[in-house]
Amino acid sequence: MSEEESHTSSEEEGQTVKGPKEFIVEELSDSSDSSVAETSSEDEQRERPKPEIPPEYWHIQKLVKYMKSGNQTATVISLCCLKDHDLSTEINQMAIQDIGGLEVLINLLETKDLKCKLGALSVLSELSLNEQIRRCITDLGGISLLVQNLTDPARDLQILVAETIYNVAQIRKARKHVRKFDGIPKLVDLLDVNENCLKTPKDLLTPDELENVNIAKAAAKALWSVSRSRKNIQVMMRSGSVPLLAKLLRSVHMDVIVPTVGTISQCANEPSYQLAIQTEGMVKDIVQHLAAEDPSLRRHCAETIFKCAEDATTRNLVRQAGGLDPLVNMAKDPATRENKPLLAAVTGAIWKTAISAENVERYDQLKTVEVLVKLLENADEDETVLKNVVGALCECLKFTHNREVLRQVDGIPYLVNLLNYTFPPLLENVPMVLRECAEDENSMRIIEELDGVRLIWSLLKNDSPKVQANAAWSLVPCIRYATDSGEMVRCFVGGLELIVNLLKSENCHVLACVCAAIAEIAKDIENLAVITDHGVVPMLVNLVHTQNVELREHLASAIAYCCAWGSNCKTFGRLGAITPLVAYMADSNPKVHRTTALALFHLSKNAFNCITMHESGVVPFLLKAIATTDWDLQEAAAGCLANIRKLALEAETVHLIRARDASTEEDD
Amino acid sequence: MAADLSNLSMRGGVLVMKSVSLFLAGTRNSKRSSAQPAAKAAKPRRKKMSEQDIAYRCSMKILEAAKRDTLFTRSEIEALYKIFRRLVTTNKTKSSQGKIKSNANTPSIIGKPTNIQEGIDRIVFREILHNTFDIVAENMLMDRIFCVWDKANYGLITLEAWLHGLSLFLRGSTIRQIEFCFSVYDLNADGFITKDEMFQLLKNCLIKHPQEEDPDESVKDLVDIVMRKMDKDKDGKVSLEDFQGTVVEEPLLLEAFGKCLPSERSKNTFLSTLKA
Repeated sequence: MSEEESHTSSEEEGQTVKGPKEFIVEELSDSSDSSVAETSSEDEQRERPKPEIPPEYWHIQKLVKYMKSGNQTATVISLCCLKDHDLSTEINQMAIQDIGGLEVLINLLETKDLKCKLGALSVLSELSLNEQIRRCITDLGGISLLVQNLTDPARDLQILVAETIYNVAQIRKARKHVRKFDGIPKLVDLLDVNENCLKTPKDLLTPDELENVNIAKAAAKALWSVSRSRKNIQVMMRSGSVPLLAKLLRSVHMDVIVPTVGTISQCANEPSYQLAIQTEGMVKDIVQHLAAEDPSLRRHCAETIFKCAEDATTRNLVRQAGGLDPLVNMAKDPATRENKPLLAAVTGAIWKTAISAENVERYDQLKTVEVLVKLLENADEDETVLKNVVGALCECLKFTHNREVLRQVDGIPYLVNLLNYTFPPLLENVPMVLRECAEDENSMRIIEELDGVRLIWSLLKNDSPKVQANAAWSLVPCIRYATDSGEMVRCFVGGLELIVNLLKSENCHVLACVCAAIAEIAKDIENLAVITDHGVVPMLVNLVHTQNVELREHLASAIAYCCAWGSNCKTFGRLGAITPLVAYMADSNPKVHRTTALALFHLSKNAFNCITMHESGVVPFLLKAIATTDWDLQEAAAGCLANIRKLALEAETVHLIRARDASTEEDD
Repeated sequence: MAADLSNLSMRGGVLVMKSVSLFLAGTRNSKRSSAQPAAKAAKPRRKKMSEQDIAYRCSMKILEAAKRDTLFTRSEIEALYKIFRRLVTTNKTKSSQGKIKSNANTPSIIGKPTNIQEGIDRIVFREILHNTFDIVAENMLMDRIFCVWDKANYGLITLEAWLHGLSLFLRGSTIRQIEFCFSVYDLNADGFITKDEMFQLLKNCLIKHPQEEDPDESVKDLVDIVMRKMDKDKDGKVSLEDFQGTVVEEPLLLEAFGKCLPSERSKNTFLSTLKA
């Protein structure tokens, strides 16, 4: 009785009332609302002490209750009224979830009643814009029901299902479920539309044909989300998605093309798909859409090109389809600069396509280097963009004339400045471009002035092996061409120790680059003394048993130049470097031969080494090497043989003198 | 007596439906085997049903009128005529006595003594709605559909009503269908759907909890919600314009107060049997 009273008084006066339960002040719209929602509202309030729950919350919960306890008629009415609410607000979504609304909606998908399913799906598809709800739908087994409904003959149902999958499959678990419940072949089947329908504008299509096009569009959207998982891409390929997507790409309907290109751009993560893009002739269509109005469409096209351009044939196809010009135009366009993902995609595409010389030719005509340098001017530019721009410059600067161009537009200071950033992929690219600059005398001066070599040197401290390797690799020309390079290197505090210590790395590529750098350093005798003190000789010998071709090449070179100081030559021999080096000569790689012969030449200045070499059977290799057309190799091999021969002659002479002495003693 | 009669009619109705489907299947099969146009019955049947065969042919006048007023083709009209006659004949034989009586029972006959109306009665009609068109609804709704089909109020579905009604069911445009549903839901045919009428229609659509003080509370509330949604001109009742506006915005509300149109599947099935 007292409870009754407290109920009624709260209705009328809207004030907190004493009693066993806590009431929170809220606005009640009309008495019928509160009388129905009364019992549930108390439960809600105890669990969630919110300051203010709007009446909409209760109204929505009431509708869900009617859905639970009603027949099809009541359900359809409730669903339609539910749709009137703004389902994108958090409070309304909570209203539905708190009362088990998601379960009801998902259960409706199992019924046979088409109207109930359509209503439930429109609500679900709007709700699934929220990430947490996507998770709930997946956990409640929603995906398997959605997939089952994909094959329902009602086409408007199919469209809604695909749209819902597009939303829900943004989370990984849902994508996995789509694959497990065989949803992918069904979605791929829906992509199949008559080519004529795709090429006719929408106002000329019959309602039937229009619906078919809309189904294909919805399925493409669903696949766009689904293809975020690699395993799904493979299943898609097996289900025959490649030719179907290629067909959709040639449609005139923009709303079909956008999800298609989005899907293709994601599939292009798979190497087999990259090949398929090339062989199915999709490159031409993708290039065509680079001129589209929609920036996100252009972005996906550029991303696809970026991913596929690792292959030379594709690069040529892009050029032939006229793809290079729009890319540069977009890079020049100030509007693009605001759109970071687009800019990153465009610059990435320029980078990868510039790997081909013919493309660089065209880029030169378009004054691309200048355009790229302009992008560097923004100090706060997005780091991915910077990485791509630098990569592109690196490819362009492999051609000597571009080094001039870069210098003239004052690009070098920006590049040296980038050495101060911390983004590892960016730091991988910057030394490589400076390496190209260092080959040009005037550019090298500028780098020196800006203290660029020291900055590159400090990259050797970076954790990423790729960064270390690229830094070491770019030091080679820097040291070679710097003025007073020996002095410069000595000035780097702790620099020599640092680089020698890198010989302890486990990464073969890093080791190879470091050895190349050490070979350069060792050309200065004072520095050679210092690194010998740091123990470079035994560390080099440690590496001598490697099978890695690149490492062998540069290791032999390092050993060659390190022989010049003191007892290094002897030490190399004593530590057992000779025999493995001789084994290098059996390798088929001519670069390895060249550097190894050089090493052997320098090592043969020591008598003991000669003997060891001879015993290891080096002579036949050297004889073969003399017959080569590679001059350096020839010279080194000849020098080595000469030393061995000299020693042999000396040995013989000594032997003869001893014998003569012995015989004269005997005579006496 | 009346109960016996209705029992007979019921069983008769079931038998009618079975025989109709058999009939349809039979004609279909015979078409396949003989590959003759729909107008002619198959050879083995011809011998048995020579009399009835003549009766099954549709008169030209009716054919022309139907082609003009409905959306059916000539062959479809003929097939529908056959079905109609079959349903009527079975009805008659099962309750030959009752025919005159059933005519007399329905109060709304405006006396046309010279024209003996023959047609499908309520019970058979209900069976058709249920079995052929998947319309499972409360009796009240089924009766409403019957009333709307039976515009002239004969208490039976005449051939004309049959053809018009099916034309709307199977091929009706959205506008016509909206009008049809509105007429079904407008219980007293005054051109408005009021709250009371909505309550009548939705009375049984929610499960009643025994411990609820007022079990009709939620239905009344639901009625309020629907009224708020549909009453566009805010005059407290739903006119045809209000209803049309609502359905155009939200097509799912076409059959908001109960199923009164056939499902897509049953439509297709029925149309394909006509084609055979």
